[in-house]
Formats: sequence, structure tokens, C-alpha cells
Amino acid sequence: MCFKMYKKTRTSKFSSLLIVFLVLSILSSFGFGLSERIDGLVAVVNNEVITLTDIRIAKEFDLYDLKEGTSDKSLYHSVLENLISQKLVQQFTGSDVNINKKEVDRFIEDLKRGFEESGWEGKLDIFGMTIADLRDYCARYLSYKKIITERFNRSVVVSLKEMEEYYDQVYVPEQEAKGETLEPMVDILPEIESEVKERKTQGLAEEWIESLKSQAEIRIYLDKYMDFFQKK
Amino acid sequence: MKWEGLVLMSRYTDGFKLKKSFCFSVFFSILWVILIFIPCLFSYGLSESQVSIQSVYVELDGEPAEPEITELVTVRAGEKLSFFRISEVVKQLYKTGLFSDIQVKREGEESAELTFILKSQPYVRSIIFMGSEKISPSKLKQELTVIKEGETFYEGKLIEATEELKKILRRRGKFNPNIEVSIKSTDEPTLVDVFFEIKETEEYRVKDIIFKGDVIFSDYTLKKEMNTQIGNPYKNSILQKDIEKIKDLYSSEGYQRVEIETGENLYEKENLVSLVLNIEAHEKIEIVIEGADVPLSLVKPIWETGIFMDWGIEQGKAKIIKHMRKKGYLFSNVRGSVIQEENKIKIVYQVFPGEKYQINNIIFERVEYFSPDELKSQLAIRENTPLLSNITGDELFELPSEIESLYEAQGFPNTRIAWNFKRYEKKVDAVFFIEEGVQNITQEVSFRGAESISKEQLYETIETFEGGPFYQPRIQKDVENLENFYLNLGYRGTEIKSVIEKLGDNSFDVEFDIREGQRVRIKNVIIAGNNITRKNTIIREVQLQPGDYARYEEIRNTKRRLENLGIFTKVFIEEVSLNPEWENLVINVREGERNYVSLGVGLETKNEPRFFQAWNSIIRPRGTAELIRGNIFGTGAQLSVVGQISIKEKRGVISWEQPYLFGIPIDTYLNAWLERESRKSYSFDRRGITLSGIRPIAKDEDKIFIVTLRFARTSLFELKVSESEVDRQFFPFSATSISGSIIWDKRSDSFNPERGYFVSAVLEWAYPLFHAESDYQKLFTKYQQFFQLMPRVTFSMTSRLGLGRGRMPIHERFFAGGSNSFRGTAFDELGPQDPGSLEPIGGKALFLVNFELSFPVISYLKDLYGAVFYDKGNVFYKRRQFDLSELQDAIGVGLRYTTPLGPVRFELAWNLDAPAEKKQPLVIIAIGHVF
Repeated sequence: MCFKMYKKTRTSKFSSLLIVFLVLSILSSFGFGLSERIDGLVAVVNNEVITLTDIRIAKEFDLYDLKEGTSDKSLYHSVLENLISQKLVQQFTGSDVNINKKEVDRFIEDLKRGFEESGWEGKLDIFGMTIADLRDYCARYLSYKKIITERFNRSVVVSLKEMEEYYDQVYVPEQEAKGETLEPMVDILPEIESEVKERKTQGLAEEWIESLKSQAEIRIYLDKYMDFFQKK
Repeated sequence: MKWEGLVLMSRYTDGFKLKKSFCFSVFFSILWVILIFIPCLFSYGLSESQVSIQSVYVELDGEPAEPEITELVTVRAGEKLSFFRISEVVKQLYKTGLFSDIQVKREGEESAELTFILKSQPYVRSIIFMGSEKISPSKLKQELTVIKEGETFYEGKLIEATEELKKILRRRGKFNPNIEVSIKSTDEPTLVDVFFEIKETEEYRVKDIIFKGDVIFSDYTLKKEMNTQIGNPYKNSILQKDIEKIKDLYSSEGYQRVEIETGENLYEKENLVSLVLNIEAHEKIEIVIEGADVPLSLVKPIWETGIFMDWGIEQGKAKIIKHMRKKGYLFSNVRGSVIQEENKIKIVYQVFPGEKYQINNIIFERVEYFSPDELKSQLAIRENTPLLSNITGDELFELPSEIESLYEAQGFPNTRIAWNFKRYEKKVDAVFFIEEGVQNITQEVSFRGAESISKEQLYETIETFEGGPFYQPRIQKDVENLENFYLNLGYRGTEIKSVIEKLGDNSFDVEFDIREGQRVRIKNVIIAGNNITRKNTIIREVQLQPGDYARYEEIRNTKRRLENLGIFTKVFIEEVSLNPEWENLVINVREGERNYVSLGVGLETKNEPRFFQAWNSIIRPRGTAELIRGNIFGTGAQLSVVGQISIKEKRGVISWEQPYLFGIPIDTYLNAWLERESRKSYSFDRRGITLSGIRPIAKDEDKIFIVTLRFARTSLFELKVSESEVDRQFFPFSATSISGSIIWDKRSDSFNPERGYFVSAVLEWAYPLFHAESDYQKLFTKYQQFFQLMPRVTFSMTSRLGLGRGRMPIHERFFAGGSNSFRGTAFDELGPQDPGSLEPIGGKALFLVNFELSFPVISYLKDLYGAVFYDKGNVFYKRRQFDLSELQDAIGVGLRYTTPLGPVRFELAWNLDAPAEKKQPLVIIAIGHVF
């Protein structure tokens, strides 16, 4: 009797659990039909808005050339950081640096190469945007890059000592780690100079952007979209 | 989640026999997978662009939004779902300034149900500081930058604001403050009050002050400069001022580039601070100017920071030469040198001033396009006047580049100028030889792509004309004019480019390539931010109605009119595009403070002091108090109560001011007043009421028309003239009148005019209505003209004419005399006198003219002017007694110091027609322009 009772209880428990589970399963299967956040303010930079779609577009078209393998959340975060920097720089310089049509065309062609034809169209399709809409994003990105280059690259001077340091501290260990032959410094001087210059420019630009950030009013609401990121 | 589900499922099927349980597990697992993935696969099979929007729902602060807010969301049901478009709409919504947060949620796969979740943008109404610390809240508010009254609020600001407040308090000597910050919602949902409760702070006392580095003064000398003293409470704000004083001390010894860093060592247990001032003196800079009297302050600032020596020398030379030329040393020369010693730089400017000359004339030769006179007029060169040059030396040397620019604007790009001087005695003529070169001509102006606007209309908009000079910057300006023209017609997105074609050597065709935008209409006007102000009060200032084209000029007019109401601190107008043809106008206002209190205290003398007796005059205080309550009932109306009290007058006025009268835009003033005033020959008590309406004539706001209805009851006392039919003591005289005034003000500045004119005419008709006794007519006209003869030299004149007829009691007659009319007599004393008491009795005719020349007296005191003046006029008892030969004359000299409220005047005036006992000059001290 006891056993029966136990059995009955267990069966009814199991049945009810099964029903609950099934209901949950059905509901979760239609989870895509439940309400989800699809857009909104992710950041406000000196009263200018960055939306979730802005971040998604920048990420999907890989505008900021971010490293693969980064987790989705930190990838979105990095894209947002880049978009904030871009906004600050463009707000500071007042107007966009003139980017001509050809530069944008070339950049879009480069982007396209990373996709198959249908994949490219599909990306545009996902966002319901035309190529003209994407051009605006690209032009803004290119103007941001150009401002940085024009502001710092020309004024950055690389000394022989800095090149020597780079050769000793970066080039030699890297080559040795790869097991490749070491070129004499004199032979690779232009490459080293370019690399050191690039690093110095980037360092100066980062410093500048940090100072712009410290003076700016920036509000970030990225955390509100965690459900969205997790789903993706 | 999905894998966890499977594990959970297996756990609960564990009680069954293996076979049975295994089968169940597999079955349910497959079922689960099917249930989960099939709908997903199905939904992912559908491209996003194929999904259509089924419905759009808008929520504001958790409630369904009002239709006008819903209308701002321009995504509509039936459209294809586009994230890009939604993103653009989100940005547009934020731009309206109405929302602090915007999120979009979606439900459904095949057809999307969108919900826009909006949160109202809150604003800071008040910042309130509480606590026992005695610090001026207004100063704290001033220094606090993160959070400000009237600005947007979000909670993230509170932490930042608290940190900033801690720093502010620390600067003020309040260490380790315990601050609690809180916000309180107000009756209005979009306003919050922010409370900072400063609970406790610590005070640190100065333990010692140590000077390190380049200490060239004794400790005693340095400490003597400082307000921060050992044993006293430490305040960083005071220390910073002390550092500036020490820097000045070093600078006085030539160490202009001195830098001082401060260090604080805090002894927390004892609440003591040890201060270290690390001084880096840098090089000693000695500047010497030899050969001429040139103030060192002219070049000293150049050397205050580290600069390239050559650049510093050239800058200094340029400044000195300019200074010398201004003084008349036209041919001065300067040599500069730097002598560098250890820790010392000596800069020597050797000035060779040459002879001092007055510029007698400027002569232009070989000019064809302009006549010499036209050229002078274009270059604003004045005609020579005795004693004064028509141009200063430094201005003269600027002329070649000005002439070049002038010719360039007329299409002469290659004008060459050579110039020399003809010297004779102490004067020079500057002779300019101008080779004009060839003029570039605009041959044809055309417009391409302008389909909606006629060529004639566009041609009228631009300054370039066919056959006229070709000047590229003007064409750029034309492009801007055309863009504005389109904007003002309601077009948006118009793109205009100029295309220039060179035809021959000197002729050009100009084509304006126009890509017309879309003409946009206003769908709706949305008002926000008005918590007290009625919507109607705002709407009536809006110059565009739904259905109108979005004329940009009218949008700007609307903004200006709303600002002119004086009840808003900020007005934002945003155009929110609904579709290419329609847009909404969002007007977002911030209401300002509604209560104002002002108090004024001054001094007055009972009688105008005569020269040599000024110190015998009795000086007594006078005061004014004013209380204003603005935006009453949200209508933009204002109520004010003003009280004035002095030995001569006591007055109380209640005023009601509103921008509309029965819906018509007329500034309306209703004043009721009580006053008592002592005049020279009588005193009076008066009570009355006036209703005035002010309206600009047409759209020209320089011309206004005023209509005033007035009722006043006046009782005379202390009447020092013989009584007449209407001048009697203690019996009230009542008057009802209507008056019309026209004012036309084209002065460069109402308080300190230098150019322009002012005309006013008032006609008053006092009619015996409601048993009033008044029965007279008065006309009073005034004309003022201001001429700027040269920079800071102004000649001004004014004329006044007053005529009256009918039974005019003494208090309605014309009087003159005193600081603002005829400066040769005391207040009211010009004109006819009572034969018995010799007190003025006023008259029915008045004529006055004043001439004045003001000029600078000390070049470096820019606000100080000297003045000479001549006044002429008189008052006549009857109009028929008006006689030009009876006019009196006064001359005088004075000093003026310009303030934003007009000049403070000190004058000495002599009445040339005064009897012998009144020949002494009259001393006048007054504020405001003489007329």
C-alpha cells in the first residue's frame, strides 16, 4: 500500500513535472516570439546618441577591425568604445574631415571582400539598410581615422634610439620565438620606423581621446542589453 | 539553458526501469528538441526585411503615451521591419530633448509588434545644500559644474557631483566631508530637487609653511605676502591666491616664468597640515626699452611663457612700432636683441623714434574705378578736422592691405599699391599710388536644376550680378543666401554648388547648380517642458500653423518671440521629420525663476550744488525696492510692486504687465500708483491709474506705438506760487486723458549711443470725462542724433519741443532745467517765474537744444571720456510768448565714465544768461545719458 502510494505519488509528481516541463519547453521554444529589446540608447556622448543598431552594424561589418575570438559581450563593448572615441573626436574637430567618394568606395570594396556576395546582401538585409546608409557609417569611420592620422602621424618623429629599442626588445624576441632568422637592423629600418611610428601615434591618440573623455559627458547603458547579447 | 533542461529531464526519469526510462528519455529528448528548434528554424528562415511591422505601441513613463508623443515615433504599422530605420527614429526622438531613455522592444516573428518605451527627461529644479557648514549656497552652486539648476538630470550625475562638491569643500578648508545626496520628485513629473546634506567636515590648521627650490626672498618676505598663516585654518582657495601674489613678487624681480607647485602633508590625528611650496624661478628676464617712452607692459606679456627668442623679438618690435606710429612717430624703427647670461635673459629694444608728425592728408593717385572721395568713404577715412588727424599713424599703415581687399572685392585680384609721404614741417601727406590692374567681370549668371523657383527670384537673392565684378568669396556667400532662401520657403535638403567657368582672361560665367530638396509642411506643433506656462501662451507665439510650409525664418522668429516673453531660460525648437513631406515641430522650453526681489540704495542732494559750495549740500539717501512675480497663471503676465523713497519723492507702484490684450499681441501695462513729490515751486500728492498698450509698427521693432489711458487725481500742497483757477492748494485736481506716442529708436546702443538717431512724439488729450476737470492738449516731440566722428569721438545733438493748450495746471505744464535738460540752471528753474516768490511756474511752450562732443582723455582708460557741451532753450508761459531771442545759453565741460547703465557724469555748467549772483558754475553728478 505504502509502496503503491509511493508509486502513485511519484507517478503524479512525475506527470506534473512533465507537464510543467512541456509547457516550459513550448514557451521557451516560442521564446523568439516573446518580447525582446531590439534597439535603444546604448550611450549618449555629449548629447549625441549611439544606438544598439549602430553597434551591431559596426560589429557585423567589422568596421573597427577587432580581433576575432573575443567574447560577444566584450566585442560589443570594444565596438562601443570605438564608437564613443569616434564621436568625441568628431565633436572636438567640429566637422568631418573631407572624405571623398573614392575613398569610401575603396573601403566598402575592401569590406565586401570579407563576405560572399549573398552574405554581403544578407547583412544589409538584416538591418534593412541600403548601401547608401552604410556609406555614411563608413565615411564617419574614415574621417575619424583621418583626423587621428593628420593630427599625430605627421608630428611623430622616431629616433634611432627608439628604433634600436624596438629591434632589441620586440623584433628580436618575436623572431626568436617564431624561430625565424634575424635580419640586421639596417635592412629592416623602414619597417621598424613605420611600426614604431604607428605605435607612438596610437599612444598619442589614446592619450588625446582619454583627455577628451575626461571632459565629456558620457552615459553608457550597455548593461541594459545583456539579454540581447546573451541571445546573440 | 537547453542542455541544462535535458540533464534535468534525465534526472526525473531516473526512477523508471532502465529500458523504460531510456525510451522515455529518448522520446522526450527528441520531442523537446523538435519543440525547441523547429519554430526557431522556421523563424530564422524568414529574412528580417521580409518581416512587416504589425503594430507600434508607444509608452511614456510606463503609461500609454499621448497621441502627440506617439506621433513623434515615425515608424508605422505596415512598414517592413528595418533596424536601421528604427535606430534613426531613436536618434530623432532623443534629439527632441524630451526623453532621457528610449528602448524598443519587439514581439512576434513573422510580423513584429514594436513597443517604444520612453522615459521623460527630468530637469533639476533646485539644488539645495543643507548642513551646519556656513558656506554660501549660491557660491557652491556657482562652482558646481556637474549639476546645474535648469539642466538635465540623470542619476549618474549624483556620484560625480558629490565628488566635485568634496573637492570644492576641500578647497574651502572643509576636509573629509560627509555628504549625503538625495533627490526629491516635485509636483511636476519632469522636475527634481537635489539635496546635498553636508553632515560633518574637518578643519585643518597650518602647521608650517616651507619654501623650497629657488627661494630668492626671505621666509619673512614670502610669508608676509600670504594670507595663509601658521596656526590658521587651511584653505586651499586662499593658498592659490597667495601663490599668485608670490608669483607677482618674483615677476617684479624679473622672474616672469616662475612656477610654484604646492604640496600638502596632512597630519590626520592632529588635523594639521604642513605646506610645501616648491618654487622654480626659471630665467630672470630683464626687458629694456631704450630711446622712447614705451610702457613695458606692452611687451612684457610676450615673455611670460617660454617662446622662441626670434619670435618674441619680432612680436615686441611690431607692438612697439604700432605704439609709436599711433603716437605720431610714423617713421620710428626698432631693433631688438637678446643677451643670454647664466639664468638670465636680457631683452633690449632700441627705439629710433624719428620726428613726430601729424597726418595732414591722404591722397590717392592713379585711381580710376573709385574716385578718391569714394575710396576715402569706403575706407572710413574721415575728413580732416582742426587739431584732429583723420586717421592715426597705426591705422595709416593698415591702409594698403585694406585697399587691396577693397579692390579685390570689386573684382581686381592684382591691385598693387605703392605709397610714400610728403613731409612738410610737422605734417605729412600720405600718397598712395594704386595700380588697379584688370577687373574680373561676371559675364553670365545661371541656375541649373531650379524647377520650383523662377530664375528672377533666385537672381534677386544673390549679390553677384551679370556685368558686375567677379569675386569668388561673394559667390560663396551667394550659395549661402540661396540655401537660406530655400530654407525660408520650407525646403529641406537642398544642395547648391557653384560652378565657375573662365571664359577669357577676365570674364567668368557663374552657374549655381541646385539640387532642390523636398518642400516640407508642419504636421503638428508639440509643446513640452511647460509645467506652469499654459500651452496657449506658447502656441500664440508660434508663427507656423499645422499645414504651413516649414519656413525656417518663421521657426527662428518663433524661438525669438518665446525668448522675448522673458519667462523661459531656454527654448529649443527641433524639427522632427515624419516623412519627406511632413514634419513635426517640437518646442521644448525651460521655465525660469518666477520671483525677483531687488533693492537699490543711492544718494541724492536736495539742491544742485553750486561750484565752491558742493560740500555744503545736504546729501541724503534714497532707496528703491522691487518685488516681481512672473508668469502669473502661466500666461506670461507679470505683477510687480515698486516702492521708492527719498527726500524729494515717495512712490508706490503696482504694475500688471501682459504680452497680449484680448488675444491681440500688444504689450499691455496696467499701473496704479500713489506718489508724493516735492518740486521747486510746489509739492503734490497724486494717485492714479494708467493703461498702456505698446506695439511695434509693422515688423520693424525699432518703431513702436504706445496708447495710454490715464486717470489721475492730484492735490497740491506747499504751493509757492500764487493760486489760480487750476493751481490751488489741497483741493484735488482730476484728469482723464488719452495719449498716443510714436517712438523710433535707431541708436547704436540705448544706454551709451555713439551713432544713430531717436525720435519720439507724444500727443495727449485730457478730456473732462467722469466729472474730471482736465481740458487741455499737449504735444511733446524729441529728436536726437549721434555722429561718430572718429573712434571714441562722438558728437550728439538733441532738440525738444513742447506745446500745450487749454487749462493746464502747474503739474501738467512744461518745466526745464537740470542735469537732463538745460544744465545752466537747477532742476525746473528755467523759464517763467512767479512775480511774488520768484519760483518757476512752468509754461505751455518749451524749446530746448543740446549739443555735445565727447572724446577720450586718457588712452588706456577706455571708459573715461571728456565732454564739452552747449545747451540752449527756454520755457514760455504761453505759446504766443514763444520768442527765439529769449532762449538762454549754457556751456560746460565734463567727464564721463561709461557703465552698462549709461555714463556716470561729472559736469560743470555755466549759464551765460544768468544774473550775476548765479554766475558760478553748477556742479552736476548724474548717471545716464544727458538726453
